[in-house]
Amino acid sequence: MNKSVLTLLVMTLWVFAWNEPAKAASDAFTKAMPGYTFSFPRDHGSHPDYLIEWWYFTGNLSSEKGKSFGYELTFFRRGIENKFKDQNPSLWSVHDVYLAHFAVTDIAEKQFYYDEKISRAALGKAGAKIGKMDVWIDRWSAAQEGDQIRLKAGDDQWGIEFILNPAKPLVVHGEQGISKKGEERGAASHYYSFTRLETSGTLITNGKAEQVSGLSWMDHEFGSLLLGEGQVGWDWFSIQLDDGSEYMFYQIRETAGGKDPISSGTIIFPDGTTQDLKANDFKLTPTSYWKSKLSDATYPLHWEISVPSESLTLTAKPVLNQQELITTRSTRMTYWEGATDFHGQKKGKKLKGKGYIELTGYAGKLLGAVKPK
Amino acid sequence: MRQFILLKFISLRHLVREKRTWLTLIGVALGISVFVSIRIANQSVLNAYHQSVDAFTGKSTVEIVGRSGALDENILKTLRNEAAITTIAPIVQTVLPMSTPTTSQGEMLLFMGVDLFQERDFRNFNVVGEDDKPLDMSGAFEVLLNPDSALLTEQFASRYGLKVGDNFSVRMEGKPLEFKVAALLTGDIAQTRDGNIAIIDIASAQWRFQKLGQLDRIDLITDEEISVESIISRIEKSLGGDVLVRRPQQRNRQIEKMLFAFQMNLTALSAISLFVGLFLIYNTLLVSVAHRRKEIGLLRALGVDRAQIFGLFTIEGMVIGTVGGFFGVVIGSVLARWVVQVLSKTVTSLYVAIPPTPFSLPLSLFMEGLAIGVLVSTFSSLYPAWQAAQLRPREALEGIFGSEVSRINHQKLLCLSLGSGLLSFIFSQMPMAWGFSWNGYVASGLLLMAFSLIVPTTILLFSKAVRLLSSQSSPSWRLAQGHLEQAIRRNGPTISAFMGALAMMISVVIMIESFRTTVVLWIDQTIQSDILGFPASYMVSDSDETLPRDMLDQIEKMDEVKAVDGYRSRMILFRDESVELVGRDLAIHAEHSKYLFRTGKSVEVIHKAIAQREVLISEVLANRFQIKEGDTVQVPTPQGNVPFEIGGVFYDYGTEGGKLVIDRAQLIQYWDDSHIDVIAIYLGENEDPTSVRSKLLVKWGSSSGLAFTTQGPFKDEIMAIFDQTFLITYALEWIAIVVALLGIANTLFVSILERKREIGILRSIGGSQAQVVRVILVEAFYMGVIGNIIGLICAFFLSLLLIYVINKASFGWTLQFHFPPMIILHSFLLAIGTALLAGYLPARKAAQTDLKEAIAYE
Amino acid sequence: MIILDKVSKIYPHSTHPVQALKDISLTIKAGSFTLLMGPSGCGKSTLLNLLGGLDMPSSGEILFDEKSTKYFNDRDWTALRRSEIGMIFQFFNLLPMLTAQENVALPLLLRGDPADQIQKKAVAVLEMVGLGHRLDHLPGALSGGEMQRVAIARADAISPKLLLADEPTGNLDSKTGQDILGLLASRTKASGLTLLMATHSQQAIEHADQVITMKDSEIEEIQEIS
Repeated sequence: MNKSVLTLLVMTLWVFAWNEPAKAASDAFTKAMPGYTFSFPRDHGSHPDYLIEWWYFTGNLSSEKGKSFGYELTFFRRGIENKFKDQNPSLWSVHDVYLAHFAVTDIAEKQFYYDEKISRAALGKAGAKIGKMDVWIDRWSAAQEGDQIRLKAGDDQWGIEFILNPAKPLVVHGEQGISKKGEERGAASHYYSFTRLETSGTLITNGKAEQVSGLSWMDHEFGSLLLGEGQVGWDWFSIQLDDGSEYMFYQIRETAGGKDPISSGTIIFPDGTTQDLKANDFKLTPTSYWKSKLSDATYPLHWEISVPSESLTLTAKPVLNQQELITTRSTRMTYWEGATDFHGQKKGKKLKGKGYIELTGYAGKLLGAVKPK
Repeated sequence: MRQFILLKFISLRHLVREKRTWLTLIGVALGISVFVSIRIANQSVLNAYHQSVDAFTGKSTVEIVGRSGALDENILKTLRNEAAITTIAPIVQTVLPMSTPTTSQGEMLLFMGVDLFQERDFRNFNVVGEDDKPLDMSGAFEVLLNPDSALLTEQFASRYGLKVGDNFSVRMEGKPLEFKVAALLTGDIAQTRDGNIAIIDIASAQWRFQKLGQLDRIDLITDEEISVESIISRIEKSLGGDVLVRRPQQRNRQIEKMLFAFQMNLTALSAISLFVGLFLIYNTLLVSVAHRRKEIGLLRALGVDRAQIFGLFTIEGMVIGTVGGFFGVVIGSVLARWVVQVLSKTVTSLYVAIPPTPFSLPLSLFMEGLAIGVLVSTFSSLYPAWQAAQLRPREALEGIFGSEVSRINHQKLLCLSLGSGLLSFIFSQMPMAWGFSWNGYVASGLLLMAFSLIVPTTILLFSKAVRLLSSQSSPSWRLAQGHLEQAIRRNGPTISAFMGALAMMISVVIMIESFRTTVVLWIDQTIQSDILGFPASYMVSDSDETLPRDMLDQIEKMDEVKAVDGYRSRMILFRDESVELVGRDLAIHAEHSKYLFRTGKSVEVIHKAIAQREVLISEVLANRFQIKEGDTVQVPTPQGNVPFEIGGVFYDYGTEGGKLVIDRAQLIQYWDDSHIDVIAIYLGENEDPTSVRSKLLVKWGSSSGLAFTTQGPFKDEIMAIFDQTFLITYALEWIAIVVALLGIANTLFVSILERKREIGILRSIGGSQAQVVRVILVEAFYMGVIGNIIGLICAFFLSLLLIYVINKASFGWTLQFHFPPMIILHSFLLAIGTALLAGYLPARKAAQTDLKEAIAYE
Repeated sequence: MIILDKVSKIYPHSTHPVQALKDISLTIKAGSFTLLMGPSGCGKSTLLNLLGGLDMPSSGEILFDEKSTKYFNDRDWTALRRSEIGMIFQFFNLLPMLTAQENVALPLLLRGDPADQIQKKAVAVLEMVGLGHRLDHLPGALSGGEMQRVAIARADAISPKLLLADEPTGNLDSKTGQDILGLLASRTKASGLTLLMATHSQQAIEHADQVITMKDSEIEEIQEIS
């Protein structure tokens, strides 16, 4: 189990409203089953046979003048079960709904900006191509250009246009092409990541454009089976250390409290080899909390992380407390997704890194917990 | 302080003690109430209209519509490249009649096919699902995914007992179209159109309403920092000339222009009562000055100066005005409740759907009513107050009996009257402005003034004439005539007011009668078909329902039928304005019916139009766009602008904004529109329309929602709509008459106070109470007769203004002047009846005058 | 013959009722010329008003030719004024918009005499008072004496049995007053009517048969003149 499952959980919860019988919904779509063979560039593109799919980018960047920034850009595709969609010849007929989240953290200015979109395909307003990565809503897009990926999002006040170059090969998570999330058949997703993408381009903050460069992380994941109840949220970490390694951890929190046994992680070594981590292989300990004035949610933003097998201890400290997204329009969830600095020791040697932490399920229920201002 | 004492001790006592003050008050209150009620109603209707329009327009800054009809949805792709456009909301809409539940039949439902994800930036949708659970936009989106899902407004649903999950259907092309209530809509938008709105997904709308690939409108939100004008011109450039890009406000400009003119006309009519009320105050104070001459003299002798006397009477007038204004507003707001209902009904049937208008009395209108009362009363008390101030103390104290005998300069009055009449003529020839015939109303006002000015002279002449005729008759006639002549100054304004009210009433009746006669004539000449078939919804509103496509052929094949004319009407944007375009089988129309062309014979003009592919336009349209026979106009079609020569201009009283008529073949050629709204059926000789109609009804059945009417009932229906339109007008006029009636009663009351002594004398030399009553009533009769004679003449001219200036400017219709002769009789009956009614109470009071007091004086 | 039996008139007032006449009893013979004298406010006018039916007594009774008027209503009094009682006032009380002839004809018109007789009668009466040349004049165009003559003519036109005159010379100069007194006296003698005249004029006594002096709402003295 990994982050993909957790994200599926979220998707499940926001998708709920669209498909009353959640189980029935998944029947119309292909399930993620073991034995899947990834093939690229095909699998960079859209998989409309699957219910849910997303392309997820985060990164830590700095300008030529040394200012630091974080960003997040996520595109979701959500298949719609609509028995009339093939009968109705209208080009407005809904087959998929596309959603996007875009956030920028201006660390020096202590500013956090985010925006979101939701749309049907609507004659090219939004879409995701099959066979190659090309997903967009309006003028926001993530598209493959040769080996590179071009990201565009935002507007003339807050916006990005980046070129992403993989410094390491992509990593397929899980076994037999699936990332399992439960015992049920098909309760899984197909999931791969680019954990180290060299990034450069233009970033607009408050209407001012700057050239920036740094590292990004990308996830692409697709699956169909929805999760059951019992989980309230998760904590997810992506860490790019300056020794050339990356770490990914997550833990699912249950209503009853405590760490879910399916929590896990992955180590990507500098040479590109990987190692799965089980729940007992690492320890995540929150050390201090921050309360959002907007949602009243209390998030653990400072963490102690330890991976005994690597003799690794890390302290996570967000670059800014306020990196909370209240996405009333699209996914309708309130969560914290923020650029984070990591400091610590590995085998007695000091090291640091950057990354992103995603904290969900703290604003009451996952959904609809946003209190009016 | 001294002024205060004067007021306290003198004015207030007079005002409270004298009964005529109350009469004046009631009159003023009524006059103001009419004005206020129309203002309130106008405001409420306008507010309701704006609210619904605003709720509908939402936050869009620019909208795009097709000039020739629907838009091609592909233009969205072009629009998305325009950086200045922030959000785009495409809309597919149609209006269809309800079919089930059966109780809802007769209601029209506006379907808006939208993309809810785009809508949220434009309009506030509050959606409630099952068990009153609120749904957010995505929730609503989800429930609308099924093509038969629709959101109904809570208001509409509860009206017909529909709940979430229930089914309903509308009619399209004679067949029912099923929908399911997916959730309910509340909030602002739900109030629009009386709640007769259904929201469905745009994909469903395109599919089910057969509008694939089409959009009816595109709403845009544009970058705030870029001027809307420059964005509009940029979009226009990129989309080409087939679409109209405009601010949403412009969509309603045309309707608002008409609404404005309509409301101004109503306000002007309601001002009549105000005008009569003004006369009432003027009259009351004038009489009061005469009556209290001695008192004024005494006050002056006691050291009160002119300014204070002037102030005293002005303030008395203002007190009447303020109190009258207060009650006017109170009565007006009660009246308004009724007016609002009638008005919104009329406006709905004439111009635009108005939601049921919540009655509200904003403080501003309350204050306005009071202010009008104060202003009007102050204005009308100036002259009497000035007159009071002019009195010399000694003369005033002497209070010479009978000094009121006229010293009126008749030459001067007649000159003024002539001048006023001339000015009126000049104004009538001026052009209108702001879509409102201001000059017509100024001319009307001047005309009324001209006729008011001849009232004193007419009284004198009338009195002389009566004297010649009545020298041998009963003493009542002679005495009344004597009184009338003696009190020209006092009777003048009363008769003027009465005359004015009558003249306006009569002129409006003449105008409406002319209108009616013209319409009847027009219907008789142009509606010649034996049976008309149309969707039942066609007569009541802006329905988009059309007839079943095969209907034309099927009816044509019937043995009884000689010819069938398929009539299709659709809206296009002609020179940026919404205009009705009609396609019909012109050859059949020429053969069996006709148009009343301004020039040329119907058959010839129509045949030439068919042969040379010309367009025929209605007179209203010709006036509206200043175009005439022989001009070539560009008509927007889906294939671009097509030049059409105007083959003829015909009279038409059926549409508000005018219409273009082309042969059906052209409509099919350019618009690919073979729909039919109305079918005109001409039967063979000796066929009975009634039995053919029954046959048609049986054939299509009652569930088809089709109506077949024979000529007579159809004409009746049109006239019924016509009459509804003028309901308020009549009501307003009646109230003006009531106010005038109070004026006459008031004058007669005063007349009795003044003539107590004469009545005493009359009684002392053997006059009975009945004889006294008779004298007063005869005087009232005289006043009624004079008022009506001048009123009739004035009304004649006034109706010319109404028909040829005001109506023509406001609506563009040429009406044939028709003077209903019975109006003379009716108006005399009304005038005399009114006058006698007004005179009766004062007469009764006069007869009971205390005799010893009456003659003891001096 | 007119008989007043204990006639009183009180004008009601919440705190200060005014007693205008107090227990007046007297007899006026038919065809006599009776003067009513006394200071202003002594009740002369009130007495005349009661006799003319312009006001009603609070108590007591008035009898005309032994006929009680106690239960007379407005209509009865009107009938009486039409045929039996004529009135003349200090201020003439002519209707200003009617000519002399019309003023005189008016009571005849009011009681509905045949139309052809009315104008004849009016002209005749006016000629009798010496105004045959002023038939078509409005009152405004006449002198005070002429106006009073028209008033006398009007009162006379109905051939009344009783003529009530309230200070008919009060507003005239003494010469004219003298003429009017003469005219009234001669009319009384000629037609045998009863004349009751309230006046301050001493000149009138020479024409009178009886002088009643009033004071403070009561009869002070009745003086017969032979």
